[in-house]
Amino acid sequence: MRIRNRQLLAFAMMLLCSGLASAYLYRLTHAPWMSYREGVNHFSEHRFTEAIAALDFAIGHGIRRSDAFMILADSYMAIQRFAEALDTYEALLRINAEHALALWKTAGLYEQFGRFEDAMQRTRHLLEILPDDPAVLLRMARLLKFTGQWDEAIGYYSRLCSGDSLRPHIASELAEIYAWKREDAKAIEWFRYALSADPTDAQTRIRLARILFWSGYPEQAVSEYIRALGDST
Amino acid sequence: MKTMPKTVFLGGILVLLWSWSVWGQAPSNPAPSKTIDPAYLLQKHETESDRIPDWQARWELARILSYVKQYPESLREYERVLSERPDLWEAKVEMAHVLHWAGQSKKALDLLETTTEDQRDEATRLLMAELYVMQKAYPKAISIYRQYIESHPQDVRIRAKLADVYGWSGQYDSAIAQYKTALSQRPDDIQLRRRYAFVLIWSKRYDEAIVELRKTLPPEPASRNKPE
Repeated sequence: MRIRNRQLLAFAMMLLCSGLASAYLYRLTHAPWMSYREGVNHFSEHRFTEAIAALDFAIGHGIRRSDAFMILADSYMAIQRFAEALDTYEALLRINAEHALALWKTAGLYEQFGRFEDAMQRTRHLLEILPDDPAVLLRMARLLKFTGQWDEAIGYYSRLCSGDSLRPHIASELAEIYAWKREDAKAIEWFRYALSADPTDAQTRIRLARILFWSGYPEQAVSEYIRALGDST
Repeated sequence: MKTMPKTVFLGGILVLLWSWSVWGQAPSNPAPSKTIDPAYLLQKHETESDRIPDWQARWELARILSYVKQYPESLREYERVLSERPDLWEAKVEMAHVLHWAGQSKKALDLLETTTEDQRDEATRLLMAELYVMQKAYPKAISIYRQYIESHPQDVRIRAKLADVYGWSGQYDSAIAQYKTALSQRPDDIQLRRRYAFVLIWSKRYDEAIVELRKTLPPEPASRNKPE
C-alpha cells in the first residue's frame, strides 16, 4: 500500500503536535523539576535572584536533590544573604548529614558569624569524613588559633607543615602562635621559613621584626622593619 | 516538493524524541561532592584589623631606633609617621623625648607645647618641666613640679628639683622649705644637703650653711689630739 504524501504530512503534523503537547504536559505535571532546571540555568548565568525564586519553589514542592539545596544556598551566598544561605546548607545537612561541602560551607559561615564553637563542631565532623584534607586541617587549625587553643592548633598546623600543602602564609600563621606563646626561637624559625618562600610578604616581615626585638635583637629588628617598609633609612 | 512531507515527518519524530529526552529525563541524585575548595589553602587568613599599617610599623621602627640610640634615624622615622598621622599625639610625645635625648631641647619643648594637657602623662609633664628649666623658664617648671609634688609628696627626687628651681629663680625661702622637707625624708643624702647649703649661702645665712656643710664632711678623727 502506498502512502500518499498528504497522509505523510498528516502523520508528521500529528507527531509534531504530540511532541509539543507532551512537552507542555510535562511542564504542567512536573513543575518542580522545571523550576529546578530553570534555577540551575539561572545560577549558571549568574542570575542569582531568579535562581533563588526557582529553586525555592522546586524545594518547596518536594525536590530533594542535594545540588538543588547547594545551588540555592550558593545563590544566597552570591548576593550576600548569608543567614539564608546558612539555613539552606543546614537544611541540606538534615537530609544528608555527611554532605562534605555543606559541612564545609556551614563551618565557614559560622566562622564568619563569630560562632566559633559551631564552626569547630562542623569542622570536626568534616575531619571524620575527610581526615587528611589540607583545607579542613587548616580551617581547624585557624579556628583553634583564634579561640586561643594554641597547643591543639599547633598540632594541626604541624600536620600541614609536614605535608606538601605548606604555604608561606601557613608557616607565618604557625609562627604567630609561637610568638604569642613566647617561644621566640621557633617563631623566628617559622617566620624566616615563610619569608624564604615569599620574601615580598611585608606583614610577615614586620611580625618577624617584632619578635626579633622582643628576643633582644634590636639591630636585626631594625633591618627587617626597613626591608618591610621598602625604604633605606 | 516531493521530499518535503518526508522531511516534515522526520522532523516531527526528532521533535518528539528531543522533547522526551529533555523533559522526560529524571536525573538520578548524584553523590555529594567530597572535594573541598582548594582555594581556601591559598587564602591568607587576615582581616583588615590584623593588617599592620605602614605608619604603625614605622612608629615601631622609630622607637627601636631610639632604644639603640640612633637618634637622627629615629627622629626621621617619627617625622615620617607624623607627616602621615599628624593626629598621633603619642608619637609626638615620644618624639619629644627622643629630641631631648638627642640634645634638641628647644625643638622637644616646641613639639610638646603642640599637645594638649590631657595628652601629657606624668613623665611627659616632668620632661616639660626639665625642658623649661633648660630654657630658664623657671615659673613654668615650678608650676609643673608643684602640681606633681601635691599628688606625690613622697617623691624626694622631684621635690629636690623643685627646691633647686626655686633657688635658681631667687625664691630662697621656698627653696629652703622644700630642701628641709626633702632632707627630713632623706637625711643621709649628702648631695642634697650640700645643695641646701648653697641656697643658704645665696640667702646669706652663712652660719646655717656652715652647719649643713659640716654635716656633709667626714667626721674629724677623734684620736688625733687624744693623749696616749
